[in-house]
Amino acid sequence: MTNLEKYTEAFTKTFEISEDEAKVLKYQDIKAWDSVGHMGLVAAIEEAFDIMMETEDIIDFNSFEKGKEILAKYDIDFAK
Amino acid sequence: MDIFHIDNLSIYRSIYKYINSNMYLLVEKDRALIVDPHEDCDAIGLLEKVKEIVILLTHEHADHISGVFWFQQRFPSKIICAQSCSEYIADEKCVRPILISFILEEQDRLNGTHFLEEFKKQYVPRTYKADITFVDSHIEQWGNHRLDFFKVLGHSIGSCGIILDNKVAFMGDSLMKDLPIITRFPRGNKKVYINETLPFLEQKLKEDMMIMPGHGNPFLLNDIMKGGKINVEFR
Repeated sequence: MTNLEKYTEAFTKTFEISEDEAKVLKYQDIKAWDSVGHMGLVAAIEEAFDIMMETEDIIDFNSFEKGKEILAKYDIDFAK
Repeated sequence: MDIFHIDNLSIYRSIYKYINSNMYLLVEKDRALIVDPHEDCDAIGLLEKVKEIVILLTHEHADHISGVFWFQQRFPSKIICAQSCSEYIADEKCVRPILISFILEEQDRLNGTHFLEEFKKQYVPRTYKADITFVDSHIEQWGNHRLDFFKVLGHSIGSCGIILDNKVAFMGDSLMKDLPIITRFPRGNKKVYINETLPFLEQKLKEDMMIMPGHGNPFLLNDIMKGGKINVEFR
């Protein structure tokens, strides 16, 4: 599984949405991505990539695209 | 801080200003029980003659453990909690106050306040080692008082209820009135809460028992009963 697939799967499984929906998703676009849902998403991503994100990054993580930028700081390469 | 008198018990309640979680204190002579501690300078006056404290954790979430170190610095203390809770609070990844930080940032952005900065200065995540743990249940005698601990799944993996003298139940975020039970956190489980926890609580708790919740005001179990069933909302 590529990093992009693992990342996308964190969204699709946490929020029970399709890949197409995940790829354009922003915070609070759907009911499931509220502050509580955000905790589930963060846990899924941290587990998928075996990382521990900084609190500031967790706060800034407000869309699928923004999350990719943030994860680059943790050496997650989405070309792999 | 407010006080609730239940028969011969006087239980103090302090509300954590950042996220409205409840800390409860029971003081007797030179010792005290503290449920879900947070930093509160008013508590020190109350504990003036206290030489040792017992910290009871209803569950592992940051808003319910934030004051553990603060009290440990001031009093010889021991921690009692569920085994799963103890594993969680021993893990640096798990004790980060990320939900509180996330909510405070949202509120600051909307209201122009600066609570997140203040909170970050006050709260330093720490790991803890519990002194007494249990898997399903545990009985502890505290002076003349009996504490009956029991696992309560659904809100979190390490949640428990604690009945004091068969009169009062500290239920953390597993039983609240006028506030939804959140079962969507990692390791929460709505199905387990509905199918196992609620029927168990309906048997375990008495209708005239005072419930001391993790958020919101204390209430009688009967206040949330309908047709012999506990009636709660979910988020």
